[in-house]
Parts: sequence; C-alpha cells; structure tokens
Amino acid sequence: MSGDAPTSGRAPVPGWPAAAPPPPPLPRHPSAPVLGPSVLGPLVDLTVRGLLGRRRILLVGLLALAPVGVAAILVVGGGLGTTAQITRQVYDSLVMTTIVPLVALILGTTAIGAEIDDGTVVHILAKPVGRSWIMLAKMLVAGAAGVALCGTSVLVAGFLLLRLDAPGLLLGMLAGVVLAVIAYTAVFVTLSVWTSRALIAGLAYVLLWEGIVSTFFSGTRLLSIREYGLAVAAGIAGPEAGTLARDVPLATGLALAAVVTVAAFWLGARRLARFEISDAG
Amino acid sequence: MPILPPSVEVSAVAKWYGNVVAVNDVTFTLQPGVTGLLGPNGAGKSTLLHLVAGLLRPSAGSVSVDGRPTFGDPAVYRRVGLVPEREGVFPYLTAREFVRLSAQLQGLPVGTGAVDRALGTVELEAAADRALATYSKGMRQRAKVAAALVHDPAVLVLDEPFNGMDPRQRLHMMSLLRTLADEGRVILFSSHILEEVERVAERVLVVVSGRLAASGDFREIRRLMTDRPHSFTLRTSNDRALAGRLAGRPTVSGLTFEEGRLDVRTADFATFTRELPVMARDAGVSIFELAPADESLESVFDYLVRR
Amino acid sequence: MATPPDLVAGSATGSIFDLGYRGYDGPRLGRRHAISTLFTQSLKWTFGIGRGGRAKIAPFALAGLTLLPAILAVGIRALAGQATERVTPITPQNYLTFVQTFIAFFVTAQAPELLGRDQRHHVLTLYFSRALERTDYALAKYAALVSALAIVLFVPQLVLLLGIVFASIDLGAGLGEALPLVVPILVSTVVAAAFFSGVGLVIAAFVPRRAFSAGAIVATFLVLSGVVQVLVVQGRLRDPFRYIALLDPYALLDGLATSLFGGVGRNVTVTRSGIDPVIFAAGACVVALVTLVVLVVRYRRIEA
Repeated sequence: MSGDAPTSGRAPVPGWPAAAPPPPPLPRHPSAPVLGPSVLGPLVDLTVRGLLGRRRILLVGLLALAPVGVAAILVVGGGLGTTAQITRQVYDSLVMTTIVPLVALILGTTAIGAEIDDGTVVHILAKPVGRSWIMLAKMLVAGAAGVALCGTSVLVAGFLLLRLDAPGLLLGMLAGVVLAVIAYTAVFVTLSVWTSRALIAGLAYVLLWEGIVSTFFSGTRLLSIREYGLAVAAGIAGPEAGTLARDVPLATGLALAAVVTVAAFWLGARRLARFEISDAG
Repeated sequence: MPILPPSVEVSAVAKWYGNVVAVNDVTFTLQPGVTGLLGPNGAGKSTLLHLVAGLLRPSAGSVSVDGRPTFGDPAVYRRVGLVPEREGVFPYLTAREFVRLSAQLQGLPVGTGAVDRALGTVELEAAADRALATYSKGMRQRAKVAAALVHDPAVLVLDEPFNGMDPRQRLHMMSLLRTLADEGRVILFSSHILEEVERVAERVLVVVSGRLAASGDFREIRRLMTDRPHSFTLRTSNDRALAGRLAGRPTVSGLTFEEGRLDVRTADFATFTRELPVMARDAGVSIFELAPADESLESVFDYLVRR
Repeated sequence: MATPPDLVAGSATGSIFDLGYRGYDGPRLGRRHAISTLFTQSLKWTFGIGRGGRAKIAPFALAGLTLLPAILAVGIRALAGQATERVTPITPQNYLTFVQTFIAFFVTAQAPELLGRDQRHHVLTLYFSRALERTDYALAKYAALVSALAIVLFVPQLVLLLGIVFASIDLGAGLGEALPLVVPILVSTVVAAAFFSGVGLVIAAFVPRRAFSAGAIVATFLVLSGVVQVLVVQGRLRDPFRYIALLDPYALLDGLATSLFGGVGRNVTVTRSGIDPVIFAAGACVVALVTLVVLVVRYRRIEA
C-alpha cells in the first residue's frame, strides 16, 4: 500500500523560509493574574478615540451648544434684557430637563454600547483585565466628556445672561450640571451593558419617568437624577437660588447622586463579569 | 522557550438558548498540536469555540483550561489567545496600535518588541501604520491573529481563520499554525472548508447539529466507519484476471472494471487486505498501485453529516 | 406566462423535461403599479400589518391613545348631557394640540421603520433597479406615512364630530354645528400629518440605524420646542427674533388649528410670540413641502 499522502503540511510549504531566527526571550508575565489600574490608560485612550470617531459627537456638540445659542439670542434680541429669573428658567426647563439628559444619554450609550453592538467588545473582554476597570474607564470618559461639554456650555451661557451679577447662581448651576452629568452617564453606561436597547430605555427614563411621573407625583422625586442636580444647584446658589429651590436639601441630593453612581458602577461591573458573547448577528 | 503544556478539557458540555440547543453533550480533551473543528454551517462550531474561549457560560457540563473554568475568569486569557470570526475591529486604530492595545491589556511591558514581532509573524509590518478601516478582510484577519499572538499564548483558538484570505496568505497562515503547534501549543480552529483542515490539523472534531459526530485522526475515523464500504483503486499487470478472482470473493461488495484501472469496494477492510496479496500471487498478477479512493476528509465528513 | 418546460427526450411512452431556468414573456405591470404597491405596502407596514405581532404594538398603542381622549370626551358629554358642554376640554378645535405628543411619538416610532431597514440591508439597489424611480420611492414612502398618520388623527376627530351630531337634541342642529368643522378638520389633519412626517422622514433618511434615528427624531422635537418655548416665553423677544417661534413644531401645529378653526391658540409659544396664527399655519405648510423636497433629493443622491 502506498504511504499516507503527506497532507498534514509538516513538509515545508514551498516558497517560505524553512526556519525563522529564534525569537528573543519574552518577558515574564506580571504576577497578578488579572490586571488592574495599569489598563486604565489604554482603555481610556481607546474609548476617547472611539467616541471622537463617530458622527454622533456632532449631535452631542450641537446639543451642548443650544444653551449658549439661547443665551445669545436672549441677550441680543430680548426685549426687556436678561435677569436672574430668566436664567433660572432656562436652566430648569431647558438645560436640566432636556440638554443634560440627552447629552449624557448619547455619550453614555456610545461609550460601551457601540462596541457591544458591533462586536469589538470581545477584544477588550477576552483579556485578563478586571471588569471593574473596564467600567471605570468607560464611565470616566463619558462623564468627563459630558462635564466638559455641558459644564462649559452652562458657564458660557450663564455668563452671557448674568455677567457677574449672580456668582452664586452661576456656581450653583455649574455644580448641578456636573453632578447630574456624572450620575446620568454612569446610569446610561450600565444600561448599555445590561440591555441592547439602552438608548430606548434611557429615553423612556428621561421622557416618561423624569418628565411625567416625577413631575406629577412628588413622592417619586427622590428617584430622579434631575432632582438631585437641581437640589445641589439650589443648595450652592444659596440666596440666589430663587425658583430653583427645592424641598430636597443639598446633602441629600449629593448623597443620592453618589449612591446612584456607585450602584451603577457596581452593577455594570458585575454584569460585565458574566457577559456572554455569542457569534450571533 | 519551554511552554508548560496546557490542558483544555471539555466535559459533557451543552449550551442552549431557550428551546434551541446549540451544543449538545460534547466531550473532548485537547492535546498540544492542531485540532480542527469541522462542521456544516449552523452546527454549533462557533458556539463551541466561544465556550472554549470563555465567552459563553455552559448551560451544562464544564469547560476548563488548566483545571479552571473558562467562563467568568479573566485570568484564563493569560494563556489563551482568541481570534474571533466577526469582522469587528476598531476601525480608527492602526494595526500597530491595535496589537499594542492587545499587548497593554495583557500587561506586557512597553518596548519589548512583542508588538513588532507579532506584526512580523503575520507579515503586516509594511501596512502596520494604516488604519484598520482601510484594510481588506484578509489583512484584518491577520491583524487579529497578531493581536492574539502578542502575549505568546499557550492555547490559541481561531474561529474561521482562513476566511477572506487569498491562497498565499492562507498557506502562510497554515505554516504559521504548524510552527506554533510544534512548539507545544494547543491550537483549535474551526472551518467548514475541508482542504484547510486536512492540510493543517492532526486531529479533527466533527460537529453536526450540536453533537460531536467523530473525533481523532480522520484516517482513523475512516477506518472506524465499518458500516460503509471502503473503495480502493488498483493498478495491476493484469486487471482482468485479478478482477475475475475478486468477483468470486464474498468480501468484495462491488467491482468496476475500466481501462487501466480497477475499482474495488469492500465492506470488510481487514479481511480484504489480507486476502488481496494472496489472490494476486495466485493469479500471477503484480500490483503496481493500491490507493484508497475515498479516504479523504471529504468522504468522512460527508458520511458523518448524512448519518 | 412562463414558457412551458422544454422536452429533452421523448417517445411514445415516456418523456424527460428540462426543468431549468425559464423566462417570462407575459405582461409586466409597470411603474404606476410599482408605486402604488410600494405605497400600500408601506402603509400597511406602518401599522405593523404583515410584519408580525411585535411590530403592531407601537402603532396601535399610539393610535389607541390618540383615540382615547375623543371617546372619553364624547362619553362624558353623552352621559352628563348638555350641561357639561362647556366643561369638556376637548373639542375638534383644540384636539390636535391636545394629542401633539402622540403625533411626535408616532412619527418617532414609524419613520425609522419605513426608511431605516431598506438602507441598512442595502435593499435600495433592488428597488431602484426596477421600474420604480428614486423620486417615486421617496414620494411613496412620504405618502404612506402621511396617510397613516392622517388616519390615526382623523378617526378620533370623526368620533368627536359624531358626538356633536348625536348629542344635540335636534339632529339638524347637530349637523349644522358639525358640518362646518369637516373641512377644517380634514385640512388641518393632512397638513399636520405632512409636516410632522416630513421632519421625521428627513431625519430617518440620514440616520439609518433605527434606535438612533428614533432618538434623534424625538430629541429634535423636544429640543426645538423646548428651546423656542424658553426663548419666547422668557425673552419677550423683539423683531426679528420673535420669529424664532416658527421653529417650534408644536407651535406650528397649534397655529394651524387656530387659524382654521378660529378661537384662541392654546400653545404658549403661539400666544406669547404675538405672531398671527396664520403665519404659523403657513410655516407648517412650508415645512411640509421643504421636508418633502429634501427627502426626494436625499433619495436621488443616496448611494444604493
């Protein structure tokens, strides 16, 4: 019987060098089995580049520009000039109700949601990195971007409207926005890890829960991130808070926002640890 | 460099999604070397690979590398490299940045040359500084392989690695896999193209409808397929005379006589191979060539899939 | 008719047929049929008909919610009699403003469905390689969504009309009260459907991914109305800045209704801006036309 046909490819493939030079010795792996803070840098870098590379960033920029535009129009075209009261109204009904949640929604759902959607998240998960650090990196980037955009927007708009007449109010508004953005982005990043329909769920939360329920049912006010932001804003603005003042005290708003953020982080990290990737779709 | 041989054990593993069973009671152990996972589309190859790579939780049974379950344990990726099938890579990164990211996420110190070496292994150095979005499908595959190799894994899992590669790249990849396997690594790759598996893999795992239909060396599997007749092609000095003798034997179940060639089918391989030389000698016929006609992976596969 | 199978081999007692590819020589239905088919299919799909159970939830739920206030209003009026006539807040005149959010939601839910799938799955090539022109495609889709929305809006208003007719003591008086409302209802419904659909479709045409285009549409309505309202209400704007009020979709809707039915506008942007409701109505028509043009241009230039 003729010998087995040499089909296993052990014979050298024609055209390729028979032996490569021996590679230099590899460094030992770090002792810890799973990586921690050292991966934060690369992950943050990756997330930032991912965010900047998508067209949605333009929308986010536009949204953040809206309060500035409004302030500019009020200053230029307003018949009776601008007052602190007008500023408070703009802040309450436009910035905190619409702009901040939407910016946070887009940033938060894109930070990890886009990668889960197109499957590239496998390149991050199939690595010995702690899941908490992945969550932290995503939340940091989304939160920082949101704070930068919305914070600047509020400062500029507030300055246009108030000039330096009410520094307490200005500071209060900034603080409220910063707090709300951080809490919102944390929640939306976690939402993207838990469900593939995070955008819709987030919209439902903002429009239905915060828009309708907590406006009409005062008992649920403590469950609304918007309320935390406004509470902090009013608390820091102090006497200049005016109509922004809430029943909810500053400390409560701060504490609850912190609780929500930490809970979101923890829930997200847990879910990531048990995340399953099939090859579907 | 010495690589501590890893053990990869899959034990009675099943995976279901609601009513759909993707993988059903599969058991095998992987040895150092190349193992090919073969099956028709939708047979559960990808699911099985994702289970081995720790990306899916088994609904039943266990998958372990070095004795530890693969799912939910990021530390397993120290020893495991994965080349996923889905085309997704980060389009805004260059190949170099992508491989470097992989190295950083593996905790490799900067400046060791691991990134360059990995890129060199897949021959992407020239194009390494172009964005992945500009790459062809085959180049993206190679970038993924480089990223999976950068930390010198002991276990390499590849899902349809030859997808989108042109013949030259494919040859190179096959040669690469053989080299890696010869260094003591465990390599598991899936394919539905038989020639690829035939050329590279020492062992095959055939998966059909979520079940393991056969495992081992495919020639050995062929021998084990006793209820299917073997076919041989003979070239002899006197085909007609030998054919006449063979026709009288009960072990011969079919005979085709053609110009310059004799095709014989037999159900009892062992007895036939004992009897053939005797008959040839008695007939005074010299046998120039005796070759199995259906001992290709294709016929094995065909048989297993249709069962 | 398809050509009959060719005989490959035949004899008195047996035949073998060639069952390979066969051509088609029969009549072809042409462009108008293609357009009307696309229109009716899209109209059905807007309501989820022909697409399985889950696709029906959103449109029917929204249609139901839009219908509910009308039924309640008629029911209350019927039960409590003439005395409550002035108390019932919902009349055909202010009906559209009352359900404005549902109109926005309907468009948010259905515009992406109509346009997004074809773009994402690269099916447009198939459409455009038929008798259907690119312009026809855009027009058919636009007409389908406008018709669907118009139906959803018209049914409740019809219920209100019938309520008026049958609630009055004398049928003739009732008819006399109801008939003059028919034309304004029809016009306002169609124009409202057109400009809301137009805005939604334009956004959906540029953003193929469904979830994201839905978010963009609802964000657009929210931000536009929020921004404009704040400006107009808080700012006491001078000319020409006052005309920013025309950017508020809900203001356009209310202005439209007010100018057709008479009476006082309910939308605060309309009332506070001091602009004549007729200008809002004109704005609504302009938006409806401009969005249609943009949609057509988009589909003429889109890569398929």
